[in-house]
Amino acid sequence: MTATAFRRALGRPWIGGAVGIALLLLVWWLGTAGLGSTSSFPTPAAVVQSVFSDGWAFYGPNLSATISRAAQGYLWGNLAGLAVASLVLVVPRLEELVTQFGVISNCLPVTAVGPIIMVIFGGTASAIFLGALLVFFTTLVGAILGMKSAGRGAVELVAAYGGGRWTQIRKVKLIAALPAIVTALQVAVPGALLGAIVGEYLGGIDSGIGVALNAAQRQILPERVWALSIIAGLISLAGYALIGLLGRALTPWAPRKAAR
Amino acid sequence: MTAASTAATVLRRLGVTAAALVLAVVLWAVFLEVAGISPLIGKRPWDVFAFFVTDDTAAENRRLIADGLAVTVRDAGIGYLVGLVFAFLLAVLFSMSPALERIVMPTAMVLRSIPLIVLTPLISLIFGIGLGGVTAIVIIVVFLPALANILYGLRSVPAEQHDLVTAYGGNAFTLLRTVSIPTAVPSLLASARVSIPSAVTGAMIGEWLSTGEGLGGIISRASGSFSYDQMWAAAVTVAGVTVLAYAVVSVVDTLVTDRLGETR
Repeated sequence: MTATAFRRALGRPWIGGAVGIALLLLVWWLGTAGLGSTSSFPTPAAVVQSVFSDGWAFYGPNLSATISRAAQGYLWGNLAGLAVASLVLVVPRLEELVTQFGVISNCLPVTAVGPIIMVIFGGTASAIFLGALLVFFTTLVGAILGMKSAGRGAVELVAAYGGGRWTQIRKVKLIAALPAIVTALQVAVPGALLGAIVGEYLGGIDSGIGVALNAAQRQILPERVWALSIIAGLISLAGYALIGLLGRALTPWAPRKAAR
Repeated sequence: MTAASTAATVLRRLGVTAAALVLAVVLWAVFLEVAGISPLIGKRPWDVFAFFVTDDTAAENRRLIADGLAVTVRDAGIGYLVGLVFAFLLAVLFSMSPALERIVMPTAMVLRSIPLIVLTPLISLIFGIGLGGVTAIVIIVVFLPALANILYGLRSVPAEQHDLVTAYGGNAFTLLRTVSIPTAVPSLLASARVSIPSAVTGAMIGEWLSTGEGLGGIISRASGSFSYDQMWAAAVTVAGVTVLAYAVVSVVDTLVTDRLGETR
């Protein structure tokens, strides 16, 4: 439900969004302009300037390390989520149990699981695992919802023409489920990034957004803290948009949510 | 739905939750045994049980975790309630003023996509270290998804109902009171349910990175001092309490939705 609401919000005219962002930047600028360069609240210009002065030599290795970990976590979490969801596709009676199991996985706080995984498997594995954990629930629930969305009529039609359970799954349920799965995959993107950054924060890793952020805080470089935060947000938005575009290309039959 | 069948639904729901919990505990034990993780770091369910019940220091352990839990519940609870109420009020406002929504929602999306952990240092810069900062973090995690969700609920009023109220001379407030808000109750409850894990995660992140109190603080100290018993016990406690809270709210959700005559 959240997913569709968010997509609708995003589908609205860009003008409103641009106005909102401009207002936010203006408030930020007005709020920080008079504070002087030593405060913890830099102006937007100072943040942009720090991005350019740090340059690619600083951001390149850190961003690519985090993106690669987030991508691996995203991959594993989605594979696990889809695998467990396909259990429900084959044995529908398991639905409630599997959903509750997913809820439990969702109730494990990353900050509690992270240190444990790090002790057992080390830092990099922990970053990937946390990303996967945060992705798993979203994809599982989205996929199960999608599988239930197949129209009874279509399922019965296949049955009437002598189609077995496998034909029903292949020709109707999977096709009907794909749009919801795509939405879930899209919503899951920020989770993978959050997991990777939390994992990096926990330590045992020498590069990445989390590591750089932690270091920037210790060295009291507020411009860099703000820049890294905003860049992390932009990466997650870009991933969200990319998966959305790919998904729409792959599932042309999905109902379009027209903006009102 | 009759009282008897409602009770049956509730019992069934709790039964499934219990079964899933048992499954989770079994998987936890099997995973550690099969992967051959040393019992010194990979604590088994029975180790955690011993920590709470049979160890010499069990009473002390229970007190430590209970004190941490009380702080975490407070940290998560305040932000959770404020975030939901605030989301509801703002959703009502937006449902009456689409222009405002168009300006605020995309910005909110951008803010929401900044990973929580990255926001935490900024929030503790702004709100300071303490309950205020942790509450601000929890509000942010709870507020934005709930806003989108409730707004969606307020908007999904069937056109006939909308037209009926308007035809009888109802204004925007009548429409809101008689139709929109009742229609949005299921999505409000759904938000209340799905916000629980995020509120707890938000509180734990805040405690870990800023206040050092509560279960989040206990876990971060325990991992620094290699007290893996404490770390596992705190993790299991916070997960258990979250599952419990989630189950309670989803039962309330089922009951209320049934009374409203919705079928699921």
